[in-house]
Amino acid sequence: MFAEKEIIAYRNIKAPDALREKIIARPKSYKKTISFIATIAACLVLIISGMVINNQSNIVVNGQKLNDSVEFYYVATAMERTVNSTVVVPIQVKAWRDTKISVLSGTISLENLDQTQEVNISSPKEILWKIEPQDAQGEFEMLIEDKKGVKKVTLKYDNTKVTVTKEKEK
Amino acid sequence: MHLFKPNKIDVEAAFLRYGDVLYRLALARLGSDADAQDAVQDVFAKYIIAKPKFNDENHEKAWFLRTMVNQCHDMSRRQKLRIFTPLDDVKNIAQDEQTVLSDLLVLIAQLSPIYADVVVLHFLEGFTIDETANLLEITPSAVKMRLSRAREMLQELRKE
Repeated sequence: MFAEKEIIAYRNIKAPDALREKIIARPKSYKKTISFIATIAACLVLIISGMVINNQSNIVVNGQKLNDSVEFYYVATAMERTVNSTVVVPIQVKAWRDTKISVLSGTISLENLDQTQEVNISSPKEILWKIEPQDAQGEFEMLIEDKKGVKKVTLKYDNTKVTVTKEKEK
Repeated sequence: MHLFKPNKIDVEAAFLRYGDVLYRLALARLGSDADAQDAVQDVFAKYIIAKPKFNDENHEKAWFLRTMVNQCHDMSRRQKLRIFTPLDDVKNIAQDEQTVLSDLLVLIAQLSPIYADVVVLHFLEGFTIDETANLLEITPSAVKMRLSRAREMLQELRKE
């Protein structure tokens, strides 16, 4: 079927070093230019408990309790990189009292409703947070406000690295 | 959902074991260095997300190759036109082999995916009929039939 030289030439093909670097490099050096179009569906799970101990809410992000900050990584697929530049972040908020959720960057919506910058909930809901990675220098803020106070959640997106930070309650 | 925390050691070890074979399989099937690199990255992204458990090294190898075959199928379907990158743009291929490889890849590109898969896996990568059947999740007799048909097609193509 094939000449020996063809088979040898084929088997001599090596993966490029640049590819190796992309796949095994540490996340902070994983380079992805903004010119790649990306759609990320990263799922943050925020659980705000109405029954708190020590008057503090429990917030869980990606299965990890959010004490100060949580980090995780995401790699967009080639298909996602070709779709569009918007990042859509579903956030599940478990609220047991009237809670106002607002964003300073991007827009949010409850399922099947219009995009806005503020929503009000009083029971567990999933919120879709739509952001443009190139806006706000990759840093986005959400305020979660109820009778207990205001919590500020900051999301930083730096190529593949996502960092979510909770600031002290006001 | 695409949230994960990659285990760098596992990924690095897997890439050292399978990176080359995955890349050249993707290059043969997709015809473009850029697409081949994308395909390899996507396979490793799936590996990182799924974190599959393997019984042994054969199981692990089969997972990677099967995932790459499926990835190439998906990407091929999305391509409206087959795009070829001249191999002189691919720096990791020796210059004296570029012509041989270019001709080879053009040949393979003219086969439909089901024939290209068996040709690349059996004749170029050297997997046995049974191993090829296992990777493609088809019967050995189906592999033989496709190889036979692919051989006829390649003979015709070489005459042109």
